[in-house]
Amino acid sequence: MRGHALLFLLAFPFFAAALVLLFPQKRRSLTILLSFLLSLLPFGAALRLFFLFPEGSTAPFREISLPWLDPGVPFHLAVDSLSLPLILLTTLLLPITLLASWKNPGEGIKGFLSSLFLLEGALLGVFLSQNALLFYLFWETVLIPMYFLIGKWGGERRTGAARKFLLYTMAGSVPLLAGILWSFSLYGRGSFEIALWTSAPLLPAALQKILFLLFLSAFAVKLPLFPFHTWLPDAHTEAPTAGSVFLAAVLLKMGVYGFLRLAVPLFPEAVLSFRPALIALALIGVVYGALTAFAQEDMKRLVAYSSVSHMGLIFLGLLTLTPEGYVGGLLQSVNHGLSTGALFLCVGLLYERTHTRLQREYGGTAKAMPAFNLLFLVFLLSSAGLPGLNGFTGEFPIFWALFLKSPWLAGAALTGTVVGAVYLLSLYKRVMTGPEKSLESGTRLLDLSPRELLLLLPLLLLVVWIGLYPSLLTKKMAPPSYIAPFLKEYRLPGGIR
Amino acid sequence: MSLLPLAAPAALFLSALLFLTEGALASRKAPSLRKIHLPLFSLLLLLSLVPLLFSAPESLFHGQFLWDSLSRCSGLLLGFSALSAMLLLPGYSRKSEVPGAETAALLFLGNLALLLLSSTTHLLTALLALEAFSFITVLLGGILRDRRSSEGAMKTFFLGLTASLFSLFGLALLFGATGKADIASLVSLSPSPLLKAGLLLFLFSFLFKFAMAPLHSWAPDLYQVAPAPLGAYLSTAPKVGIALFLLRLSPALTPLLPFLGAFVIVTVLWGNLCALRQEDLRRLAAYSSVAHSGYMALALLLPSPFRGNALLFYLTVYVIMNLSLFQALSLLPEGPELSPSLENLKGWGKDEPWIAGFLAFALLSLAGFPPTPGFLAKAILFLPALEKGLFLPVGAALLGTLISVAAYFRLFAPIYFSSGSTLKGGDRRGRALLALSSLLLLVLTLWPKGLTLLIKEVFSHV
Repeated sequence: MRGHALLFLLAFPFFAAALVLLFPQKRRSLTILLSFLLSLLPFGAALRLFFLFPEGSTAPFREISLPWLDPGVPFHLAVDSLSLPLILLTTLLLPITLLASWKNPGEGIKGFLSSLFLLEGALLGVFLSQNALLFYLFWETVLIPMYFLIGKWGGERRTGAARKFLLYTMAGSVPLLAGILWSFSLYGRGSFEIALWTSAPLLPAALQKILFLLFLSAFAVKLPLFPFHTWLPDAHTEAPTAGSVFLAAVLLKMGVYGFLRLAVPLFPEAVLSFRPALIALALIGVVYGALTAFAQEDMKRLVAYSSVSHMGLIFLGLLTLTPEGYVGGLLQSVNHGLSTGALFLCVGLLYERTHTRLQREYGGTAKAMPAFNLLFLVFLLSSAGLPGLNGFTGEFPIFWALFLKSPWLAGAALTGTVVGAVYLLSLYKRVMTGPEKSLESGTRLLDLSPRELLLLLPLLLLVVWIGLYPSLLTKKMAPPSYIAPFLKEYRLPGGIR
Repeated sequence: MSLLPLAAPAALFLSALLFLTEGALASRKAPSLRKIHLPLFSLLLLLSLVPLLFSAPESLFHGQFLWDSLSRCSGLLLGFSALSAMLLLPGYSRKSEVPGAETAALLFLGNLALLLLSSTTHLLTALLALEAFSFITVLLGGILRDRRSSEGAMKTFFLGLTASLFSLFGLALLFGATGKADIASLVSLSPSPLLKAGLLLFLFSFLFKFAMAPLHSWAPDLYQVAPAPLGAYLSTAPKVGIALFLLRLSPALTPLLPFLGAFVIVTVLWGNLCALRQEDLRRLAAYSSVAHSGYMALALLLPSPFRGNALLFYLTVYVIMNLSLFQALSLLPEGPELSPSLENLKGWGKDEPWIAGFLAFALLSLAGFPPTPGFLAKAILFLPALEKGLFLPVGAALLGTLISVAAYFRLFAPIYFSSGSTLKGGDRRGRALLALSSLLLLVLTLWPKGLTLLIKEVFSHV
């Protein structure tokens, strides 16, 4: 069966997580190097999958279903145009974060690397599962390595941040479990297969609403949707660089994925009836996140709050339920993963040199680190949505969809982007320009080492590539058949389109 | 009438006698013989039950003793629990204060009482078996005979006595109302108020011993003072006996389902909430076992085919994971005034990576995290409950699960996130046992179907 590639893709990280534990503890560089090489394999597999994936396809690809717990719960994996970009993003980030962890975790490097592989495996499981129970299983498994990454290898307030992360996400996912179990009995087909549920007749509207709220609680915490975002700044700030990258780049996208994969196709009427409220919350998130980011002195916290704002915009795009909003939201999910991931990496690199993340401690860094200066600027601009870089290609369709729906809405959401440009550029100004602060303390910052260049360059390449040629991704991002019926095209009165 | 089914109870009784004799004869200074034959003997006993597992049920003494595959399951689980206690005792930090032969005898007698309890269809026999076990609970719990353990044992004893008086009164009412005291005839009768009241009162002692809130208050006190190896036994074995008896009784409990539902809701919430606040590890484990009683009692509310499946699955998983927890705790040193707390776990992750890993696995399973067997046990339980429309108990149970995650994860912070001097205890046997329990949990994680098939087989022979 051709789906064995997926089985490999899913099983390999778990295998690698166990294998890493056998590596020599003393020879740190060798251990990291070997895990880096291991992590290239799933990326290669995902890349191959991406190139083989037919353009414009809306059907599941490379499906594989093995008997597992019960006839109703097979081990059913597939990739489709919704999960493909997220899988690619996940597998791309692991080698990069491994390279970034050369110096970072103090002790227990093997446990750290093993947790990262476990995290990758669980995330791939979420994106590949075609069965609701299997999906939930991986959804929860993601928490455990992340909990340890934050709690063991995080910053000063790591224990509290890890607990907060765990409890918030659990509080969201317990209702999800209730919702999944209840749906199982309501659909009455004795199966947890998502395809069977989506092809069944829709449930009565009242039931849809209750179930939607149960499902949404998990997705809203992950997204995060205002006011369920309060775990995010703590977790992102306290996590080690690799953890922050995965949190921002992939874990938040689990909310996007879950919303599109389960909530929209199963409960479309409920989505429509709750849409005004959700739009209002997402809009608050956009503006509130941007304003709060502006007020942050800690660079990592600033990037964390900017994520709240960007994720709000992505969710707004999805909520328009239009093809443009869908493509923009999904593309922007990938873009946000790339640029925010890169920003966390950049902050991590600065932190490794100076051991502080406070903006006021920096100044004139551009002179000391010219190569870093260029890369950092590009990533900041990409995050701010400069045309020609990837952020713009995602934001534009979102704003287009919002504008078609309501110009006022688009205008309100635009304030988030405007403030975004302000705080990102002011971050640049305070940290990179001005008199060189590091000279006062007598040490000069070293510019990027070849290893550090190597880990940032692939991101730079993608940021520019997607910025100039977004079709690279979008031609393989046609809305899958279970979502397409619920996306409605808007037309301008003059028939411009 | 063949008396062959009596072989297992007889073997338990004879072993108990053997140990009592040995305890009386042996001088305190010659424990070497005991060390070897104790575990071996019980292991043989455990294994001898396995081939008898799937054969036709046999009923003796007009249903007073029913030897079917369910009783054999009970024997297996009880045997595992007692075996675990015996293997842990040689490595226990205060082993010199625990009389070995008497403890072994008590464990065998305890298993005998619980085996009878889970194999009877007669209420009077059940009550007698339960009472017999309650004496053993008190003796085992207070076996260290210092001030603290005597206090814990006495609390349990007097509260338990009161509870059994209620049950006795309930039994009298039942007998007065119906003239019968066996389960089959109770099921066939139409429920009258007197019958209902009798059943409810009768259940009192069972729910008490099962540690259902608000009748649970003895459990934390007793588990805290009992030696950890015996805590392992006391927190698992009685649950097996009582749960399986309640399963047999469940057809007669239909009129009482709302009461049971209320008990379930209170237990899962209160047990987990209290576990959240504990610093003492064994009190935490006690409240966790209270909460798990609530989940198991939820299974009793289900319709017939699901009831047994869910209960037996949960029970088996519970026994293994709770034994793991206590096996890990018994590696910590104890003293007359020293009870292991969260602080004592500091630095385990670094100094004892394997032990810490096993404990972490058991904790994840207790918290019901997927893909551990603890999660599957809950899924198998909640699914039919939702289908039956038991939204309130399931909602409470889910909320309880959420709270329990917070409670169990409190242990991870000292184990993994802080370093400190580790107090080590225990011996190789205890470690091997913990590894074995974790292996069982792992097998159940990777191949849960094995257990579901086994359970299906069990109920096809009842």
